Amino acid sequence: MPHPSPVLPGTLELLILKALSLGQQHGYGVLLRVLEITGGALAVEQGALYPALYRLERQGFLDANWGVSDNNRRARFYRLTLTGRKRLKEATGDWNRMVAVMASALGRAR
Amino acid sequence: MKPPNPIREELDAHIARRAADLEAQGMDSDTAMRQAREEFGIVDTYEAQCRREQRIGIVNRVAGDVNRDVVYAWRRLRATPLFTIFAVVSLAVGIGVTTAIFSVVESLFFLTPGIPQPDRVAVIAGSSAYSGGSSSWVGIASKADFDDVAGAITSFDRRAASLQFWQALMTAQQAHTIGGEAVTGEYFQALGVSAARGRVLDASDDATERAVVVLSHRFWQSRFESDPGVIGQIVRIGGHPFEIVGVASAPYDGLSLAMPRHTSVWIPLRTAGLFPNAASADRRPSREQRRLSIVGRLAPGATVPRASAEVSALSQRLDEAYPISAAKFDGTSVPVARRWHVRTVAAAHEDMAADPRRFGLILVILVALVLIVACTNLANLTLARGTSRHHEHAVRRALGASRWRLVREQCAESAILAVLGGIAAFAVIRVLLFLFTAEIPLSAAFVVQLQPELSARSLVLAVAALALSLVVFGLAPALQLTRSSVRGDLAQSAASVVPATTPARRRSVRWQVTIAVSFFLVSTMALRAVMVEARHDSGIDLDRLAVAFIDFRLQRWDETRARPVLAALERELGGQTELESGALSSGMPFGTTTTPFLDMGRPGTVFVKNGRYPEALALVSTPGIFRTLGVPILRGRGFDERDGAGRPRVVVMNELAARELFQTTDVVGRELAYRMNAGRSSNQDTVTARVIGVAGDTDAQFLTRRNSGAVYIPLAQQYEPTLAVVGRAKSDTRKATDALRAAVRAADPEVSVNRAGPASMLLAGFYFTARIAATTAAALGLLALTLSMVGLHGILAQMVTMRTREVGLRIALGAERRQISRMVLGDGFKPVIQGLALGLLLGVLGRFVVRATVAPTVVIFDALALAVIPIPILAAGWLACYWPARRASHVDPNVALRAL
Repeated sequence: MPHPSPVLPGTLELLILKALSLGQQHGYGVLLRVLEITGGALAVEQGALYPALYRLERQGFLDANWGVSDNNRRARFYRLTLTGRKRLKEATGDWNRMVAVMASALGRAR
Repeated sequence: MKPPNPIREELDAHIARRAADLEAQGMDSDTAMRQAREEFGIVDTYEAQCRREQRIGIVNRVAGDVNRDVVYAWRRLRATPLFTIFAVVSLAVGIGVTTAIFSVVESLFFLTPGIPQPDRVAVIAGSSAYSGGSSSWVGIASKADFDDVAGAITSFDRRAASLQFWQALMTAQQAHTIGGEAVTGEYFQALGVSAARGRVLDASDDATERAVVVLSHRFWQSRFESDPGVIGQIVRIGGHPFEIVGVASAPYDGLSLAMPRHTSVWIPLRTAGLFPNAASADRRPSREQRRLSIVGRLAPGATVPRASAEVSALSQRLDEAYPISAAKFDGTSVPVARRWHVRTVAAAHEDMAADPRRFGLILVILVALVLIVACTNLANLTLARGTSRHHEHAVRRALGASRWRLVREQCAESAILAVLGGIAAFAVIRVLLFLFTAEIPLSAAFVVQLQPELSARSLVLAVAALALSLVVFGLAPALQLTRSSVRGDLAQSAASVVPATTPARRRSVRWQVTIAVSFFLVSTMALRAVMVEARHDSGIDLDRLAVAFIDFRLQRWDETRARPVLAALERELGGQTELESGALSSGMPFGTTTTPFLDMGRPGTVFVKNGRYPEALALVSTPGIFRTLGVPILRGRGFDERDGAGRPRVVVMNELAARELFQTTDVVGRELAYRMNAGRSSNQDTVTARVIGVAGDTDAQFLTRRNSGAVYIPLAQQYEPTLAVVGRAKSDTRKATDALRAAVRAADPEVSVNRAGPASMLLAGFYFTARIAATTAAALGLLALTLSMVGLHGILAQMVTMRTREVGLRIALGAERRQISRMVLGDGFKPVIQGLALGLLLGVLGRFVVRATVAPTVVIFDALALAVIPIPILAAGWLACYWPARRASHVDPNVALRAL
């Protein structure tokens, strides 16, 4: 794995939403997807994923159901809800605007 | 199946997968596992965090759901204000009226002895000293008898004697005539009654010379405003100073146990000898002075039969040693045996309470009827509402709303109604209990002081009944949906032209109308009496008239002591600004039982008891009596200052008395010989007086009856110790009552006012009560009618809604709007007519019962009532049916049929 960078608050949730927008996954699958889409650039204890998943579920962005995984093991599968998808869209927009503002601000300062 | 700890399982699965992946990359399984755990972090911490998230979720969801349900239910109630108002009113009336009236009934008729373990406390019953020795437990033993029994009896481990008395009690501020008991030392211990303040009487009070008094809780509350500083104060009872040493604990009201005779104070038996009319005045031999009641606590292990046998044996021994006799009604006396036996206080109380309780039960049944109307009405309303939402529920179920959700919404709605109804009911109860805190005269000598307290039992019952009807009938439609298939409901309500039958609810309307009619009939029965009184001229003008009673015998004052007070009192009456006029009299022409009688005769003739010489009321009065009562002087003059003491004796006769004695009313200047009746007056000499005037007739003894004439005698020339102080108010009768009390106090603060109030209440007691009964019954009837008509309206309106398609079809097929309107009216009217007929029938039957048991003069077929009562019922029925009928006849067939 490459050298990981620390996670900014709120980004983990956004990454989870993004990871799940590609289809339903269990917790470990979400982790693999996050690592995949970030190129392994995020340093996070794997356990931290779960409180975030539960929080998103409580907020109604995710739906969770017990099912059976590929290798025939019981697993809890997470799926984006409609509001979750909407939330991802909004959050992505917010993030991009934020990044643009920060980038231009920091760029000028330099 | 869910595993017991799903969060842990999920986290563990993650680690296992990671380990498997690491193993696949070439690690040995132990290292892989360790590595996976390390990467994951502390499992426990994350598990706890997940659980917290989950818990917050549940709480939020429930709170959100409840909040949403309540808001939604509130919105729906707001959308149907009529339903909401009527439901709340039904609840308020149902709970409020029934609880309040039941509280009153309970405080009047369902009294308890007020002592702990009334089945272990016993009284001794036996031959009384009067009525030929009839059985009683009041006044059966002399002090000597009691001392003998107390020393010998083993079945009682505590025993006490009680003497009931009636005396004037004076505080620094006011004077009252009160009932009390003079008791021996173990009295309170025997009854198990403790002190709420200070102490109760005990054995030490038998020994000392101190005059001490214990107040009843009720008396302390009402006359001393629950003043905690009352201990140590001095009151005068029968003119003697007593020190207040305590207040007895709350519910105990004395041994008398009978309704109007609350014991207000207890004093040591020894001190009762201080009273003027006590033992010293009793000239009978000591064993004959049977004025004590005996009470005892059964010793552990002692049974009632055993105690009874022991007491009986004791009384036989006493009979042998000291034979006794009892007075008969005609004044002679017969020898009697003591015939003592033991009754528990519980049993004795049960005997006394049985009759009033039966009367109370009738009232309870009447009140229960109102509750039934309120319940069925509420049930009808909620059921109709639920049914009309049937379709909505079905649609929502089809769209995925859970049954639980629908039931919960219904619950929220019921809960809101219950809370609103509860608040309204509380207000109703408060107001009614305030109104009922009054003096109600049941007859001339029998005024009941009502101080109802909220009866928790009835409150719980009423609330439970209404809550039940609310929940059961509110939930029924929602629950019904959970049973039936949604498709059926959707299909049926969309296509039905067949009217859903509502026989049950129509039946309930019928019964509601029946109940309302019955109330009206009861009301008219009492109303008759009220009308008789209103039309009748009693001869005196009761309007703005107030009366107060004083009795100098209680103070044991003789004429010399009382005369200055009477003079002062007459002056004070003249000085009261609230009074138009005032007077003193030995009684009122009617409505009082203490008014003396006299035997009339012509001078020189001999009075023959119960012979040809007639009796008349003796109204020994001050000159103001004619003006104050509004009795006209028809001939001659009334008496005045000229007819003072020492002047020639004069009288004024009324026409009835004159005609009875002289067979003419032209009697001015004639002479009348009279003698006061025995028993009522101290003075029994024959007096000859000149008739100086003839007064108008008045009712005598009872309102609406003219059983005897009346003779007015100047009080200045003849003294009477028992007097009515009467005054006519300038404006307000209540102020006049206060003015009378003030005048008595100003004349002499030691004179106690026995009873005071408006004459319309004190003298016309029965009619006053009849008026209350009539208005109460009419109000309850009106209430029942209103509630049932609201219910009927609801049912009809809903029925019309359900039958819209049918009506549309009929109109499309050629039915006229008038026919449709008539059809709906007919539907609505049927239960009203049935209820009316049934109610009238029941009313007539009820009158048979009343005639057989209470009042033999009741008319069975009261044409007026039968003719008048249907009018409001039919009018209300028409009002309830009109709008639904109108709406039905305006159904647009195009709109109605399109929905098919």
